[in-house]
Amino acid sequence: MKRLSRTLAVLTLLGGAVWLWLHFYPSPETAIRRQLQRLGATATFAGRESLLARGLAAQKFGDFFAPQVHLQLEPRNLLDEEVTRQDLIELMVRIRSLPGVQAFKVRLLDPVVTLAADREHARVEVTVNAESSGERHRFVQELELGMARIEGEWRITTVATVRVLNRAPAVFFMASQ
Amino acid sequence: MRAGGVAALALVVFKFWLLPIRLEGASMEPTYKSGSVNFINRLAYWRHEPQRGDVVGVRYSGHSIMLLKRIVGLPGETVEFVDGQLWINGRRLPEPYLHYESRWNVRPEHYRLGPDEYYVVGDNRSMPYELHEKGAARRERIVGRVLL
Repeated sequence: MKRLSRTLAVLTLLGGAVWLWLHFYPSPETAIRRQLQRLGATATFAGRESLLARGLAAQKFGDFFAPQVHLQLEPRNLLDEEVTRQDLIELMVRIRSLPGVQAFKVRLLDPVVTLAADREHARVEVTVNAESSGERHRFVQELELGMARIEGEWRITTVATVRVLNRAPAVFFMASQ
Repeated sequence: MRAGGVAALALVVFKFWLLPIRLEGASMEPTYKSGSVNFINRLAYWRHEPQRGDVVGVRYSGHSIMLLKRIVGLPGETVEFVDGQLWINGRRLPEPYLHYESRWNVRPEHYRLGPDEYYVVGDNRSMPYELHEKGAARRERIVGRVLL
């Protein structure tokens, strides 16, 4: 009985040690997933915010990005292709200040992480689900993110829109005149 | 022990075979109403490829959110809508599952589906063409067929 309880105690200690190790030294895939979860939480806001809170949250949002970010978003004229971290911070402040947006919930779902051979760069396919005012205004978009480990953190270097359904250029016409 | 077995079985069934879904949006009405619950059979295309008329789940980066659409065009075919009627390879295709009137007049320019592409569209084509999510889905994006 004593031996059994000792074995159990050792196993519990070992399990705890492994858990602690993985928590503080996660694999790159886990670190990226956590980072994306934090990004979603940072982009989320509920109710009215003070100017200071808005600025701090936008600053925090900017920290998820590299100093220079390459965007390939559709529609093409939405944003410039090359933006700085400061541009993204200002964009976030503007979004959080929109008069019609009371609350905004962002989740980054189903990240598929592909690490480069150097394990310092990664490509991530992720589905962005953004809801404002409950589920009445929902926006779903798959994105491909390029990420790199910069100053010890995984930061986004590129963002590109992924089309789930390809559409050929359409020709509209009048029929059965 | 028995409860554990049931839980394990439910986990396997609902994760790897029948994916539960809750529909949202009007693009498949009246066949499938917004708010209804259904399942995607992930093993539906184990032995054969998707067929025309199948209602399928098309995934984003994972299975948390999917598009529910009907396959109307198969690999290599051309697709167009003339006066709301579907034309495949230049011939009109009857669609008995449609209940709403459509006025779409759209010819995807020189559009021919690729060797692994399926054209998917919703049943509610009374919606404006621009607001209706539709297009060519690659085979690897099709998760399975709707169960009910």
